[in-house]
Amino acid sequence: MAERTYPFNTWYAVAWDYEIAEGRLLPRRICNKPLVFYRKKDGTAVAMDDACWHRLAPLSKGKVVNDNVVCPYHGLVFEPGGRCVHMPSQETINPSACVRTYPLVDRHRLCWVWMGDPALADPNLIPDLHWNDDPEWAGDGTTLHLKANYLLAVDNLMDLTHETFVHQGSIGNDAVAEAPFRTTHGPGTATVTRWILNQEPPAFWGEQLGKPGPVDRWQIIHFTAPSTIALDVGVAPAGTGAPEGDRSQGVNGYITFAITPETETTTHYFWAANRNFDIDNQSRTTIWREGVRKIFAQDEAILESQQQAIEANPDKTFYDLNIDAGGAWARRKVAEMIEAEQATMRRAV
Amino acid sequence: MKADSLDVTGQVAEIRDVASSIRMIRFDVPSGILNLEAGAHVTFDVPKGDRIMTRSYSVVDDGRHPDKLTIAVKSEEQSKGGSRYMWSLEPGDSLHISANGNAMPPTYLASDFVVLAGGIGVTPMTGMARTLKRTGKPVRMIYCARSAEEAAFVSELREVLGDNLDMRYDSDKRFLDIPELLETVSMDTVVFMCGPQGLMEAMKSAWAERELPVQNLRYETFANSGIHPTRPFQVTVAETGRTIGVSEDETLLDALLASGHDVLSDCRRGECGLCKVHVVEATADIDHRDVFLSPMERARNDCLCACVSRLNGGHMTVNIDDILHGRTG
Repeated sequence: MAERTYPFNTWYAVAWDYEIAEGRLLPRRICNKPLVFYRKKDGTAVAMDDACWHRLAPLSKGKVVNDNVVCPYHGLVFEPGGRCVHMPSQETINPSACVRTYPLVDRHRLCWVWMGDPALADPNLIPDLHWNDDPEWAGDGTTLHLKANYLLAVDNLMDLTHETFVHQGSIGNDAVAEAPFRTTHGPGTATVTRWILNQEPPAFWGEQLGKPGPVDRWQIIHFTAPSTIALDVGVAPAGTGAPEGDRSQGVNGYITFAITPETETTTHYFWAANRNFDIDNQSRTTIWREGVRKIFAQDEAILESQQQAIEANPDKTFYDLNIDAGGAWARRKVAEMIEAEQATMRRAV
Repeated sequence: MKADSLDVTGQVAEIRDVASSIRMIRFDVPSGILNLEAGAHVTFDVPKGDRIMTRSYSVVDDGRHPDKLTIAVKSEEQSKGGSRYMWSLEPGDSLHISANGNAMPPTYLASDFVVLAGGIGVTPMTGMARTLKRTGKPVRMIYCARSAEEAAFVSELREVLGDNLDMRYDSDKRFLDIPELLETVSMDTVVFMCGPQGLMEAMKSAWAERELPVQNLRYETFANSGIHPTRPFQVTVAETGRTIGVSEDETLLDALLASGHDVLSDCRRGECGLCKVHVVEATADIDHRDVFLSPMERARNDCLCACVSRLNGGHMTVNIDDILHGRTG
């Protein structure tokens, strides 16, 4: 088995906020660990190992009673902190009996878990995806269950050259692959900026803008390690000042991505497509969501076949092209996180 | 939580006397195999004559140093053999580690923390205080020791906790008033404790009396001590009619197994109740060192957990078959 490709000391989105509900147990594997999620009566969400301390029966097949989880097999009861508070057929409770729990926070319509050292779990470190619940933006999204390593999805989003080939006819056209782009990076972040100036818009963007003629189109990819992306995209009539900062004649979307390793070869891919125009129009929200869903189905097909090809060619490696600069920075930031995590572990106390 | 049997070797890297009768031993261990977070324990194979015994120790570590294992061993006047052997170790010596786990993992769902250590119970509480401090939430520690000379890791703890470390020395007559301490504890305070049985039982009953949430009192016991000193005693097994001696450095369970009596056991730390035997008659007090039996069950004095509990000298007759398990009131 190859080395672990994801860090633990970070926040991962595990579910949409509505998926974790009071009185209901949601099983989901995160970073190769089976977890169970539920919500207490006060609204706080809880994450714990999905295996009873006693015989490892999955707690997710049990039930929630008074904010506690009851094991489906022998009725052991665990409180939200993971400590056993009831054992069958005895007067006392074994003080060792507990299951591990994990910090879990609601933010930007998603629930985020911290799989690593809980003492470091600062909610201020959750990446900014405020477009998901900002009243000045409208949008919706869903989850793609991707049968590919999560970094393949990051690669895919950090290099939109593929739009020309994978998404021809919707958002892709020849102009994308021909336009140059810039990459910048900071601590734990990378940004790819591409302007496609004075070109005919692809079908989707032409419809959104609703004005004829060539456009200035932008794609600004904001990556936060290990796997969150806010994709700032839009078009404005060519020459109206968008590259200089005046987007008032154009239309703008922020597509957000929170990409979570389920296992080394499968991924929970949470996305939402948001826009800041015509925001009261629910039909447009639905059209955007369904349109983007179709586009991502094309990515899903190529990424899953890529994963299969990787597994079928264990003797082969990846090569980078200059179009991979964004993805290469992203992968380097992830590697630095994993290294830093291991260095902290090594540091003398 | 339960680790399968391990095959790990630790090599003694450093030995330091950290109190008049407490020795810190630091081992080099293969990186990343052992769980060394606060609250964890390791079990060593310890030679005793031609036999191998196992002895468990809490780690002093706090999980940030995966290739160093630190334990602290008290030199017991009546050593069960484990500490005497540990005190004989020298740098470079190797020991086999056969088990590892964490029965008292840190929790972070609390408004604030109280750490209570008594005597050698400071061992796991040192790493715990450091770990909890990293959450940024208030952490107070009360450390009861006989005297300043017998207290370990005080300067390290002072560095982490500052004025939130409250040292209570018997020699200064500064005894801990548990009900008074619990006056300062809220429904969201989590208390971690490790110490002598008397201290932990006083805390448990005061906790129950105040109706604080049971899950917020976290403790660990190796049941190494009880209310009586460790004495040899005699046992007659009713089913076989044989009488065996239980020496100071073995448990009733060890003695039963060594003499070919078939009894169950699992945790070997007085928690699971699987090794319970019935007492038919006894000439001395039973020293209940387990946490499985309820106060009422103990008071009946008709059974004991063979893995940790003992007779205070004298003789008893036990039934080892047809054991009544379950809720017995």
